[in-house]
Amino acid sequence: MTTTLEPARTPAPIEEEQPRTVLPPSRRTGRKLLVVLALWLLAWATLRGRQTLVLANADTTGLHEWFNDLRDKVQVLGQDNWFFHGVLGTVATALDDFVGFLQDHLSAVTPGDYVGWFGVLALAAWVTYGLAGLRSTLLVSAVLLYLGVGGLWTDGLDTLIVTLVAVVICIVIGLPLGIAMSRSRRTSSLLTPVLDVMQTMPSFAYLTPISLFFGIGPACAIVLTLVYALPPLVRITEHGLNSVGENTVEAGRSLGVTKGQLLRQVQLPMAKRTIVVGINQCTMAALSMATIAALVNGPGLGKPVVAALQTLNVGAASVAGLGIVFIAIMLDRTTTAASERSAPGGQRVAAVGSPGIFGGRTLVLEKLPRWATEEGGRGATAKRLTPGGRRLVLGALLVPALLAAFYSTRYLQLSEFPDLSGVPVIGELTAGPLGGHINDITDAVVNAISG
Amino acid sequence: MTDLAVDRATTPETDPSSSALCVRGLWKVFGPNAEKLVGTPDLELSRQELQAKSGHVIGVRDVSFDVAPGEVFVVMGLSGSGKSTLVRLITRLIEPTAGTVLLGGDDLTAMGEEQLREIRRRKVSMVFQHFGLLPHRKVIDNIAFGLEVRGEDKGARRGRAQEMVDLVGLSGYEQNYPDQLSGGMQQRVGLARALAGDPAVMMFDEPFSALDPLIRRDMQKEVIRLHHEVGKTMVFITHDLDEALKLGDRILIMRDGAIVQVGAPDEIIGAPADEYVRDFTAEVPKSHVLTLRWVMRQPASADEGAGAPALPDTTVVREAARAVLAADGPVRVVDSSGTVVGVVDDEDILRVVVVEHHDDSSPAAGS
Repeated sequence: MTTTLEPARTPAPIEEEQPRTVLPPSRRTGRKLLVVLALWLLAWATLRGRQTLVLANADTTGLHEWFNDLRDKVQVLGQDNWFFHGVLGTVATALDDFVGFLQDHLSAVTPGDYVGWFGVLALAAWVTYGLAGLRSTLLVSAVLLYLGVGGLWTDGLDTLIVTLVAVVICIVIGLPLGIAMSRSRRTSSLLTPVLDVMQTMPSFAYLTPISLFFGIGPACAIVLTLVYALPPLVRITEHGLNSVGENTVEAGRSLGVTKGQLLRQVQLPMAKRTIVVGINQCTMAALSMATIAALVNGPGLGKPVVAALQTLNVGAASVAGLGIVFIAIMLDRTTTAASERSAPGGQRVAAVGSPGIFGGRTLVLEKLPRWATEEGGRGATAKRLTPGGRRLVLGALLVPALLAAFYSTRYLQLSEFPDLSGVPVIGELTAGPLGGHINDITDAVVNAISG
Repeated sequence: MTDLAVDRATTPETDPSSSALCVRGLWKVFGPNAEKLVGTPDLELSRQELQAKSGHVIGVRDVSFDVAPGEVFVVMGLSGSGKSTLVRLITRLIEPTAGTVLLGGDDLTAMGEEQLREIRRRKVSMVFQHFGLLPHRKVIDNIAFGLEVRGEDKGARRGRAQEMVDLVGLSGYEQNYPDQLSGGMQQRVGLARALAGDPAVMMFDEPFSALDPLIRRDMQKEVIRLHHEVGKTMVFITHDLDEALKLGDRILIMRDGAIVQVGAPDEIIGAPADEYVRDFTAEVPKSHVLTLRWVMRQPASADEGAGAPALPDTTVVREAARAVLAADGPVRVVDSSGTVVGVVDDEDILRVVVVEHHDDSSPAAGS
């Protein structure tokens, strides 16, 4: 008894056993390097001097010819093969028709049963107000008016249509892919190199094959855009789902969630902000393909840019290029504002998820002016209507929007954007004068440099 | 004396069907193909030796214990001792490498995914160190989440969640989001969520380690209160000895993934199983924990202390001190049946109290 109560020595600091992670197996770097070196030497010994000479202008190697043969075969098969004709052909036709339908109704300037510029402007403003808020509505209206004044109405709306169709297809394909990748390491390691290829392969390299499969036109432009715009969405979705806090996932599992419940009620809501960033990046990537899509007769602002490039008309290229930039800003701010609005509690979105998730977003977007996202950099939200009040206002505003759409089908002035080049001040913003000014400045700079 | 402790430690109640939770021979070895190691001499190696040899890390080593219904069972150890792994093995949030877990007689380790989910939904719940709340849901919906997962309709789960809100003292905060609450209040939400499903067993994984000391004390009181009110069986993980002594009916001390000692608080203090436990408990004020059973001696003669009042042997020394010191001679100690089991005198009491004062450098510590 007494032994247990003897005056204890000064308690020695107890050494803490820290959990050790499993050691990685030794890497055997030296041996791997030797193997690589051996393979390299072997390849050099057997392939030395074969097809390594500098090619003359029109010379081809076996590899070139093999690809060209493949192209010819595809072209021949394309006539009646079940895959090329049946599957790809159907997809191409469907996409072409769908884009054509939207073009007819929104961007074309044929008066008649089709909605003209005034109606499009009113409907776009109404939709933006419903989804994102007043600031976004002003931004959207300003950008659309710039397109109209600049004489870029049709091309600008075509760009919007192609981009939005491409982004919707990206979301339909990309979200499930991202979910699959976050769930299975194997899927992830299989798809990652594919995404790498899609993202880094120069678009000019797959321009021709895709145009062979889908024919030139909107369908080809959309597929081109898909190839480039899909990877960021898939990657960011995967990352967003993987970065959902382990604590929360574990808590969910301890309550007995199924995989589907975990995804729908824990992971997706918590990764939502990141996924919206992914959709934004996808949209930006899609817009950056506008010019290249013009090379395969894709409709949109790429066309005037390419045409201006061929005549070295810097001014015209800049005016159209600015159109693309404004559309990009408009889409980014509007989608961001829309996602913030739908977040619970309105202003508390910043706290959702771990701060780490937003690293990429901060880098890319924080530096751009954030005026049009509803928070406008003020940290807090402006006073808002109650949900019921908002619905009432929205309903009331739908009437003038529909009226505008109706009248734009009846009156030429509301259907075709008027030519404002004669109007003072505003006239300076139309394509001709604005392009002219830019050309003047460029010339002045060039002259000053070349002396 | 030591015999008693060993006795309790190695032979927990042997009838698994009467215990709320029965763990037998539980192992967790981290590393590839760890299950192949079970039964091989490799598992006799120490953690360091095994890791050096094959890269496997022993998380939990051959742990067996029973928890009686309504008991608060505390698992204590320093970080890395395997206690958090152990609590996750019980509900298979981490798959055990070997061993069995019986929860109210059901073998969790033999269950398929579907059955296991059902157990997690109804029989056992868990409170986490970092709360694990859903930031996009209001407090009330966080609490109702477990009920929603098991398919209860909205009205029923809202009603039940509201009861839980009132039970843990969160009334008025139902419509707030978790990040609008302080840490202590967030943990109350975690507590309410765990209680909402009316489980048989509740697990706590260092629930108060992330809270500041004052809030921690409040929450400990809260757990004691809830235990009195709802009487759940609780498995409580902590690295804080004071917390373990305060809450635990019995305490399991772990080191390097293995059990060092299992026993009631006074057994841990009065008869530490080895140097490790002795070091661990060195700074605990012994008079607050030890009972008269630990300080009494055999009466020199049959009538020693006959004149003084008798005290039960479960009285804590600190509480008995005044009565013993006030008595003229030795005081009798009786067990629950009233039989005299020993006597204590001033010296026995002072040895416990004074040794502490002498022991600690600061005069304020101790009593």
